[in-house]
Amino acid sequence: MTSQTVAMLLAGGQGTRLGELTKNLAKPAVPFGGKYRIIDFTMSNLANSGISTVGLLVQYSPLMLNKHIGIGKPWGLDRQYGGVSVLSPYSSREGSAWFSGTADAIVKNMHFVEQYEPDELIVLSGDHIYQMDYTKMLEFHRGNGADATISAIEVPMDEASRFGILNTNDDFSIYEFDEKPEHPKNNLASMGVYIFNWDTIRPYLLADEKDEESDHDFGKDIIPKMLADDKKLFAYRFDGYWKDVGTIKSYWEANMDLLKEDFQTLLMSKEWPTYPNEENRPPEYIGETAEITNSLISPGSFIEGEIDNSILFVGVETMEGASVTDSIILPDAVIGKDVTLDSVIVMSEVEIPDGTQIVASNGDPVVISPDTLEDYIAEGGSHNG
Amino acid sequence: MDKELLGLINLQPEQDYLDELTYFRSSGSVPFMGRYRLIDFAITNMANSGANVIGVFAGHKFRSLLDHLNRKEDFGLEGRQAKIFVLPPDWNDPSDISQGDLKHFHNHSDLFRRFKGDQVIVSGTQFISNMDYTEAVRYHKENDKDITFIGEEVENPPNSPVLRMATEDGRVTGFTHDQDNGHLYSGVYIIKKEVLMNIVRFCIDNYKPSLFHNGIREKLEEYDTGFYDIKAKTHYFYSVQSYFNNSMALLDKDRYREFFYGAKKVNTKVSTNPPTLYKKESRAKRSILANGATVEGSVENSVISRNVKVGKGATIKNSIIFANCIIEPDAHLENVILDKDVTITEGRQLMGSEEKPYVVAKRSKI
Repeated sequence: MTSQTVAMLLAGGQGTRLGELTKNLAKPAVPFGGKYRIIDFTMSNLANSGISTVGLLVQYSPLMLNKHIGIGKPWGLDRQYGGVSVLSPYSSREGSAWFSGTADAIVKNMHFVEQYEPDELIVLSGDHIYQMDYTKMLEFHRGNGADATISAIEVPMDEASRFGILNTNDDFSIYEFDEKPEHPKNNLASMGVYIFNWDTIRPYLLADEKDEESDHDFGKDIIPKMLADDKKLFAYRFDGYWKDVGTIKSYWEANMDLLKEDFQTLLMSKEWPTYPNEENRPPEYIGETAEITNSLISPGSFIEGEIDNSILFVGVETMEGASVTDSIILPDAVIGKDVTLDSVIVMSEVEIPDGTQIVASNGDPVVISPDTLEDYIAEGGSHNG
Repeated sequence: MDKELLGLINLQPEQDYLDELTYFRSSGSVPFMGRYRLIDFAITNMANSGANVIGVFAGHKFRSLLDHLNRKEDFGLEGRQAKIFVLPPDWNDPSDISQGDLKHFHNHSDLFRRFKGDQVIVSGTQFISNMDYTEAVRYHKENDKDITFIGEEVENPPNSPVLRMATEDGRVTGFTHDQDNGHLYSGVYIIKKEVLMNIVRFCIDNYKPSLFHNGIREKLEEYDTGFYDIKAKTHYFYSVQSYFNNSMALLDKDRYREFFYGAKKVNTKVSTNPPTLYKKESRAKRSILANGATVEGSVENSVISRNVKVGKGATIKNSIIFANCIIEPDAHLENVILDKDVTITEGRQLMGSEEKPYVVAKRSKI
């Protein structure tokens, strides 16, 4: 499997809808689930699927991402042959080359793929939370003799217009791909996981590069062209947990999902482990006055006060009398005495002064960054979005 | 300084003071405070003192040590030159007449020969602190000592088998078990490599079995000895009771913070477990809990290691639970140490006393 399949992991996304969270950080590098980053789920999927030749495409604020992924050691992807290669935009004789679309990012790194002479190319995004065995999708792809296979999941009908929608025949062959349709015909959404036969996709990528009309995007440009040429495209139905953490709300929901009994395998599974890039930190200290219910607490923390339905990252300190509900506290933040937080996301290393109250009252979580903290305090804490 | 100091952790003369806890593992790999093993402290302190190469003399029961130490990067020993050698016994030299821990020195003499530096720091694992030996090494070199013994002076000498140092004019003149002497010896010493090699040769030539007792302790007057007060919070392990007390003492919040966050970060094997999950009915206080644990019951004044499951209605008080234990619903544990992989079945009650904690052997089901 190792040399037959090359994975290209698109991790360049700026993720503007995540606001403060991605101000200086690529979306896949945003902390998630107590000690992970969003990209850990995809990296762990690769590791657990035994796919060990990975090109990581970075573009926006890549420092943390580069440092986090390194040579892929936490995922066992530090290999003599293959392994993880970080592919950043670069300038060549023809000029500098920023990626202008998902397909363009692959074209600009075609030399990377070709050195492995793969049978298949897997294209992935680094900003989804899910556990998926790509080898099963590969088997499906090969079994169908497909030119391309797109993994798909049923989403609520009213959200379908946010996604690329696959219209399929009974055998799951695709006859139409609607990118973010206004009036979706069904709710089978693309998860942004594509498998292409390398020999098939290569000419499409090269042609697309020369097409000045094109957005150089798989969903918008490449897939419709392949369909127009009657290539064999199939939808691979996935029915596990999958979440696109594209907005503050969905980021918050996906974190909260980890606390639900149904989704605890996302972190807890021994069969399909999710690997963080772990640091050495002492176990958390739970103090005299702590009361913790339905929450995840990470190493290096000192916890007092009431923590309910929340996710606390590494190195968080909460003081006596603090009350943290439905909230996400990122690494090394300090929650002072008698602070009340409800439905908030506190960014790394932010210190919330004693007595502060911040309650997101309309159900939309608010993000507390060093820049926004003073505003919330000035407003007297209660926040109505 | 980096390439001058060789670290040696000599587990060979250490006996199984910790009874049940060392039946199936070496003293160095006894788990401590949820995610550490006793040897972590010796290695961290040495690495932080500039020792880039560390040898571990492992006499027996070293499987868990090999596993624990197999990634030197986890212990801050980074770079191509850095090494951790776990050295098992090698008894195949027919001309070998060495005895006791001298066998290790004899059979692994390449460790010393290949090391280019001229100082060795030797430690066991029955003493832990979180303080590097940089200052002690400086003292040792500046005063050109043959051997510098690291210890501490305490005002109220504990009633314990910890060795004490007799000192005179800046020299160490003897070791005693005098309970009134508050000058405790940590078991750590810095020695000139050349002096160490001479002592090894003397011991082997004279059929002596103990490097420390025969080669150093009995012949102290032959060396230029010094002592250095480490001035740090320290813990000594010489019985299950002392192990239990040390764990309980570190459950004091300030002490825990000072010990683990004070001087340096204590390094240990990095694992990848999810954060600790506290379920709806959980109740935890004054405890430390490691990753991968799931708590539905109540935990008080206790140390919970990785992947422990505390079932609904179970209560754990003044206890130390090693990794992978399962405490089924409504079980009650008090003053208990559970070794790894123990299952306590539903509703079972186990109580030790504060003076004598009840120890449950690895992999039992009660």
